Amino acid sequence: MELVNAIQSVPIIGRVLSFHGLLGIVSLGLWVLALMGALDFERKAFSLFWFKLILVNLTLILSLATVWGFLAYIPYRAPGGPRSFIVESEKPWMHEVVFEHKEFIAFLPWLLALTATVVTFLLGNTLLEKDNQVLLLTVRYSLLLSVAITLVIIIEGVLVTRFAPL
Amino acid sequence: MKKESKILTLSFLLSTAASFNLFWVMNILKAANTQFKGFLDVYPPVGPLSGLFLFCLLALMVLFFPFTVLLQQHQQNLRVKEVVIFYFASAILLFVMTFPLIFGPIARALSALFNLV
Repeated sequence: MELVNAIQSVPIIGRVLSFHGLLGIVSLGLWVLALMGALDFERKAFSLFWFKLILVNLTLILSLATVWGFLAYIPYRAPGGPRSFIVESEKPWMHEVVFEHKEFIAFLPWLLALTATVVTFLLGNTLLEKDNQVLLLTVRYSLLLSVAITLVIIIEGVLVTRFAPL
Repeated sequence: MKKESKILTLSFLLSTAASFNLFWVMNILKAANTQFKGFLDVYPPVGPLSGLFLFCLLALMVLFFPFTVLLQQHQQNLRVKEVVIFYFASAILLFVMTFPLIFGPIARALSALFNLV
């Protein structure tokens, strides 16, 4: 009950932003599972069905995080919002460099995860064949690159939020 | 069936890579030209970023079909390694070329060129 009251006391935009951050953090957990699946493919201890399920969930969570990011972005860039505050402050580079980079590289993680998902669904267990070794590496490195870029996005987001809380 | 799946996989990789490259190029053009920036302002509360995401996603979906046809015509000579390298290089290029300290000077130079022309 106290938790519900505490959440209700937070402004709506705060809840939107918190959920956006939460989705990013949840995706990290899914990545761990996805990477385990991708690396364990050869031993088949991690069945293809579960690996595909994790990949689909990872792609959905990342897509939702990206869309939710747009919702959080609207009040950020609105007149009088945090963007104006940061640009007029003694550290305008917080928006002009840090936040802008975060905006653009948000295009990457969910597409990299989607690519890993599509490749796995299309090729399935044939990824284990000698001819498809490069494509199995594509799945693994797509997931690794996706998590690395998401970590950069999270760090950039935290830097800006600490400087100019919404 | 296996060959068909491989062709579809490579088409998807190629169209995703093309979409990544389109994104950073359009971003530079957006910063260099106010008219292009206005064109990208599909949903004003989000701004030009909405157009960037939308058009690049559309490009990914549209380009998938011609790439599939192209690869079907060259199915005896599928260059898997080259496609994968292009895909990862494009992702890294997007990461680097959207860093404001890198694309900023390029956009300013382009803007000066547009003003001259």
